Formats: sequence, structure tokens, C-alpha cells
Amino acid sequence: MTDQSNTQDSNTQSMVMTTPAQEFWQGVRDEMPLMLGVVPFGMVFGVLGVEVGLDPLVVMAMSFVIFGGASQVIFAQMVAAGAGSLVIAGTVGIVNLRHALYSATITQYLDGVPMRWRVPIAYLLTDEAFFISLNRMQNKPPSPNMHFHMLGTGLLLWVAWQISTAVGIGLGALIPASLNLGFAIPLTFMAITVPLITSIPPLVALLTGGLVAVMGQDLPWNSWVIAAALIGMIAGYIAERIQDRKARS
Amino acid sequence: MIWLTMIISGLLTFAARFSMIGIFKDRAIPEIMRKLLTYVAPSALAAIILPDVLFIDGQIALTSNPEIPAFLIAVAVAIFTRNVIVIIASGMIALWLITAFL
Repeated sequence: MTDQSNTQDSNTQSMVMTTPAQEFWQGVRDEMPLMLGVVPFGMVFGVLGVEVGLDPLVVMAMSFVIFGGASQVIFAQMVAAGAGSLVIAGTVGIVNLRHALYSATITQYLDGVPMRWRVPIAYLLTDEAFFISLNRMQNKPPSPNMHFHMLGTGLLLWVAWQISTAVGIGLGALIPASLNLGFAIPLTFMAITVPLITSIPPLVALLTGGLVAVMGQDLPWNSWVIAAALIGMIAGYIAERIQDRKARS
Repeated sequence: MIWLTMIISGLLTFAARFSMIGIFKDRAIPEIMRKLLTYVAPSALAAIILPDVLFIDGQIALTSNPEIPAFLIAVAVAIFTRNVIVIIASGMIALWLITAFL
């Protein structure tokens, strides 16, 4: 069992010098396998957007302006359900509030990175890019150029998301619903999750987060997402404290 | 109106993503926050995954939900390999076979 703070300490001892291009293309390569899940996701969203009666131009623009898969699906579903603008925008905002947690996590690895890079990194900060780049930040020696890894994972995801949205809009009903392409989404996230469960505390965080999410489905404005993320984090931390205390006694 | 809704949604999303990257540019993240954040990945990912698999059309469906056995098969595969492509493919194929034959 490895303590994450220990791995971070051992990393800071061995700094490496990588070039921006090396980091960027490593990010692209690390992100590439996830395209098998992201592309069907984008297509599913494109199909859904047109199905609920949104202008194809709006559907396309959403992938550019919001650039957040789950929240775009919720947006389209709420339009279909006839929800008002305020509720829709508020729900998207609350669903994506978890990105503030990713933002706080990734900024720890952005020491000395100027604002002109911080803004595009923030725009590209999605679930699928964040977790892949976080793995690089935590498990490989730090480099002053490692923020280019985020740009690599983020930009590949962005390009794939725009193209697959367009394909979904274009193909529409030609994609048989029986393929259940949407199932690729939880599978992709699961593939990222399983390697993280190396000890009891992350397992506690996972089980608590999942449980709160399932129990909290009826919470207003889809606030179960952020509630589950926060309560799961706290549970993981408490588990770590209990484990530490037991190890010391 | 739909455009305005979308642009506000986009701005709120960007605000969340930029928030801490912008605030903690030249100062350190508080220690307690740093420790809590080591658990953001398993916690947030479980929150995204579990309802997606367990719910059909907004209703919890623990029986006659082919996604559950297919998902469990994919989890078993994920324990043995880190290959994301193999994991996603095994889950999709399992789902197709289960829905075709059961």
C-alpha cells in the first residue's frame, strides 16, 4: 500500500527536463486509448441534441462553448423536458462544479506557469483529460514543462469531441440505438478508476461517493454530483486518518 | 434564448475550471484541502459512473438491467489489465451478447 504523499515526496527529489513537445505528445499518446469511449460519447450527444429538437448549430456550439459531456447531455434532456433557461444553466453550473475540485488539484502542479497557459488549461479541463494528466503529474518525475501534458490530453479530447459531435449530428438515426453506444461512457471512467484503488482509503472514497450519488438522485439541480464528490473525499480522508492512527499505535 | 442559456452554461463551466487555477497561482493550496483532494478522483468518478449504470430512464434498475452484468465483467477485466481499449471493448461486447441472448 502506498501513501500518496510519500510518492509525491519521492518525485520532487528527481526533477527531469522534458521539452514542451515531448510532454504535449506524451499527453496525446496517453489520452489516445480513451478515444474508444469518448468518440461514441460525442456521437450519442450529437444524436440526442438533434432528437430533442435543438438546432444542429446549437448542438455543435455547445460542444465548443460548454465542452463538458455529461452536462451537455443533461442540457439536452432538460430542453426536451421543457425546463426553463435559469434551471438549465444553473444545473449545468452545479454539475460542473466538480471541475473546481479538479482545478484545485491540477494547480498544485502548475507552479510558475503563466496566465496565458492557465486559461487554455482551464478551458480544456475535463474529466477524461484531467485524470489522465493527473496520473502523469503524480507518477512520473516532475518537469517544468509538464503543463504541456495537460494541453496534449485536453486538445486531443477537444478535437475528438468536436468531430464526434458533428458525426452524431450528421448520422443521427443511422446509428442503431441497439448498439447502446452510451455504455462506453461509464466503461471509460471505470477503466480510469480501477487502477486508483490501491489501498483502503481510496476504496472508501469510491464507495461513499458512489453511494451518495445513487441516494441523492432526487436532489435539486443535479447537486448530487458535487455532493457525492465532496462527501466521498471527506470519507477517504477520514479513512486515511484512522489507518494512520492504527499504524502508529 | 437557447443561445443565452448555452453561453451562461459555458461561462459557469469555465468559471469552475478556472477558479482554483486562477486563485492559487502564486500561493500554496491549504494543507487540509491538499489532503482531501487526493481522494477527488475515486470519489468523483464513482459519482459519475454508478448512477449511469444502475439507473434506466431515471429509475433505479437492479434487475433486468443488462448493463450491470456487462459492467461487472468489464471491472473483472480491468483488474487484470490496464489496457483501456481492452476494458471498453470487453464491456461493450459483453453488453451486446447479453442483450442478444438473454
